Amino acid sequence: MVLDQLVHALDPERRDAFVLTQALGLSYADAAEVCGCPVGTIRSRVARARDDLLTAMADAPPRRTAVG
Amino acid sequence: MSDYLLVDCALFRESLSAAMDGEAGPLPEAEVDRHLRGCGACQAWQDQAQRLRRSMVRQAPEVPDLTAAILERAPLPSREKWAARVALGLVGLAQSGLGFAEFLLPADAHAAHTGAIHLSNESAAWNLALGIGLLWAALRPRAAGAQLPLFAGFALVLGVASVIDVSGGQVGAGRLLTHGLLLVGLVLLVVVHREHRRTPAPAPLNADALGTDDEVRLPEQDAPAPIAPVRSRFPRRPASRHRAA
Repeated sequence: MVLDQLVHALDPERRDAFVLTQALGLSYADAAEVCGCPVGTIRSRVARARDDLLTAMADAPPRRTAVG
Repeated sequence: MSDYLLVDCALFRESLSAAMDGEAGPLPEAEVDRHLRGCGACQAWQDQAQRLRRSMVRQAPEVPDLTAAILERAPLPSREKWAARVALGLVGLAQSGLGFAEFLLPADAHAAHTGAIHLSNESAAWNLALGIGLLWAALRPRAAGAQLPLFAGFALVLGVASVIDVSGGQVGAGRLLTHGLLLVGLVLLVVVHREHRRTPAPAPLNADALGTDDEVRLPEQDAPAPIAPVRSRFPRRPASRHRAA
């Protein structure tokens, strides 16, 4: 799935925040505890991860592309 | 100027992102709404982000609708169970009143010097206690069963004694009638006990049987403390990031 590859390509901190809250369904507070950082940090990382993903999806064609 | 705008939008988008997840954002809602009305880029961003979020929601597996079957097997508590309890409560009240009234009734003149007053008081205490027992069983139906031996034993002995006393002409019909209340109470006690005896406890679901083939796995039980880097705990991704270049 293309989205998986895009998620993998995220900055590690943003990816962790994104996966914890979106894939695992943790609340921001729980994700903050897991990461050992403030809730506000999780909030901004999730937002930036979304921003990165949207940018990457806009750049990449919707079809599966070969990632080197 | 454009730099300022960019930073500004980032904070608004953080608010939009948080709102999407049902979390509190860094800016007041009204301010975000006001910005959103005037900023087409943020509107588009919110739209796309919401589409992204929806695309991540895993489809729940199709399951058959078992509502009818479950309702058939596990009927809801019916009102019938209340009827017996309410009746039992009323009988308990009447029985208690009877016992209480016995205390208040003046003793016979000739009974005073035969030591019968205390006997009468003892009888009153008994009747009051039985009334309280019935009331308690009405309030706590599961306690009904424990009282059955007492009530059944009392009713049996009293029944035999009554027959003997009636045949000997030693007791009036009015007095006997009060025993009828006890008999009704005993029957209701049995009914309530039977109704509340077999409410089967639901068998616990075996959580292991619900195992999913989800790609995402929770961290191992013996994983290091939560402060340790989380990234190595997701099996979907190699521990070290490898880039082709």
